[in-house]
Amino acid sequence: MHLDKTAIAITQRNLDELLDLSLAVLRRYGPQLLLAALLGAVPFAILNGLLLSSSVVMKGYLLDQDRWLRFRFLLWMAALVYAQAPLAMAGVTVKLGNIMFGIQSSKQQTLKAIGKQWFSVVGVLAILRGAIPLTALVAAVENLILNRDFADAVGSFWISMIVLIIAAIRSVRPFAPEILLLEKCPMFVFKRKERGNQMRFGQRSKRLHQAGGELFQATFFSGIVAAMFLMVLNLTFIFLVGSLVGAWEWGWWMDLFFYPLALWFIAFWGTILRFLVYMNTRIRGEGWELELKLKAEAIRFQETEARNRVE
Amino acid sequence: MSADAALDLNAIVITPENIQFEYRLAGPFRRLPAFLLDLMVRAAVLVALIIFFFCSGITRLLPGLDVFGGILLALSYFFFDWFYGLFFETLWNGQTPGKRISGLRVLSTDGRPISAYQATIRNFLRLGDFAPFASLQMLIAEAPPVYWMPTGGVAILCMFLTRRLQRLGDLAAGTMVVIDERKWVPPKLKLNEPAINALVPAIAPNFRMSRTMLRTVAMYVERRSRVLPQRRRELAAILTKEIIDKVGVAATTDPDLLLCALYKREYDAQWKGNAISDKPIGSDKPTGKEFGSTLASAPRGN
Repeated sequence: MHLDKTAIAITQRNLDELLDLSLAVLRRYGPQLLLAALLGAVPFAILNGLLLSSSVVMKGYLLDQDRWLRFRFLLWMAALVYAQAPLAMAGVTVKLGNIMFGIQSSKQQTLKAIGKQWFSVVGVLAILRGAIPLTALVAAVENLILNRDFADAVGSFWISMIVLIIAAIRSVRPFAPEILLLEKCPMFVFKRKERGNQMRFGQRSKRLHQAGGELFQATFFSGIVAAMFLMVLNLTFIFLVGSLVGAWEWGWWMDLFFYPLALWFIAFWGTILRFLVYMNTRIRGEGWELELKLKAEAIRFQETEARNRVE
Repeated sequence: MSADAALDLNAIVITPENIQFEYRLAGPFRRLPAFLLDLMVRAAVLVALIIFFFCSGITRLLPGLDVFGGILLALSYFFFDWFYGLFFETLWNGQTPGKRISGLRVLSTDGRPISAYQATIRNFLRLGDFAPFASLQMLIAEAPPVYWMPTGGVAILCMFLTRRLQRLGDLAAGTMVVIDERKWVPPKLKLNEPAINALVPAIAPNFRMSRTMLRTVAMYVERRSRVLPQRRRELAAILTKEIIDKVGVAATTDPDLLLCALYKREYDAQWKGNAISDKPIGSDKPTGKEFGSTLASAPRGN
């Protein structure tokens, strides 16, 4: 690994610097990452739309202005995107890793990198981290349970529970996508002879997430920033729509199009931020910045000594 | 900065004398605490003005004030709010109270201090940076259509699009917000391991670290506790294998302990007056007394 040839400078940073840096990364590498983000997000966005739009269109809050239905729709959409984001943004994670160390990768190579780890990716990101269970529950509540009150009560309770569990896990162990896709640690090692050499996901996760308190703090503040960002994006969208067509309120266009778009944008940005926090954790834990500085100092010392000998 | 350079939040300014300065830029998230602090100061002043006008009895003493008090209050706050940034940034060389507490400073993009003219432009355009303004009606149909909530969308978009993370006001005034570098002082660290203490006297008295080496070693010693012991030794060995002959200790000495001992000796020499002397090694040769001052003037990042 050439630490002196990275795309993002290796320096230990605070969270506020990482948040600022995430914007700079988005500006410089956003276009390269956008295709990977779209490939991951669009199928999930369509699925979520199909699952939840029935409550908007069929159950008629548009007609009745049912506030509870609208609130539930917005909340469940956010919950779905939150749970699906690590899985949907797997391509962005791989691409970011490659960009960081100057590796050119095509669409196929990115997909191949994810495909190689498909079992662990599905196991950890899709099942254990709640993407599939939550999607399945929302689908069942929205479309299978006919008793509306029962569906509302049971659905709201269990969806909240699952989201809370996902949030709790992700706040102290956020780097599952990086461990699986960049460090390529599998969930299980099946071959006996590889067991000694290959670090499993669980082992690596335990080692990487040692600073649980700091990670929780970072996740908490990033969450607040993400919520503020989401608010700004939505209000800006309303302003733009209002300026263009004169509709200044939160209408169906916000529910079905701009709000999910804002959520997926936040998921995209959140993936970049998580990658930067991951890099920062490794820079600190493995002393990457120290390594660079010590190497530079060793070279400087050699040069000074050589100069002194000549003199 | 070339497109291939590693991405960082730095701005490099080269003066007409061909001297290069490197500044660390502050983006929207680094600036947010300063903004909130300034907001709190302004809010506190507003509350103080209200208390003064309505509770101090001044309106009874001066009869005209009971009619014009409200107008006077509004005008006073208007001037304070609009000229707050301009006043402080001009007076305090690019800092407001919030920026000073948060360690930020506004500079011209060519590295010079900002002028009153630049401070005026960047502060008067703050309103544009707050746009678009939102109304509660956007979220709740029954709310009145009063567009008073600043979203800051323009500022975020401008900072996102510009390399120096400038908001609209900064772009118009030719300014940027940077992190105010404080003087570097060697960190005081507890290095009381017996093995380190035992190693300190074994170091050759004529071995002195250059200022850049000292900063690197200080950084190592400060951060080593977060690095696994095995990795610590690997890292420390990068430097110690080059200097060990000059340091005059056994080749088998633990590299991690050696760097700690080197730092402890230099720190004690500076802060506790345990003189270390003789000819230093390296191109820059600080004496014991110069220690602090040379470090403080050393360029950042070395």
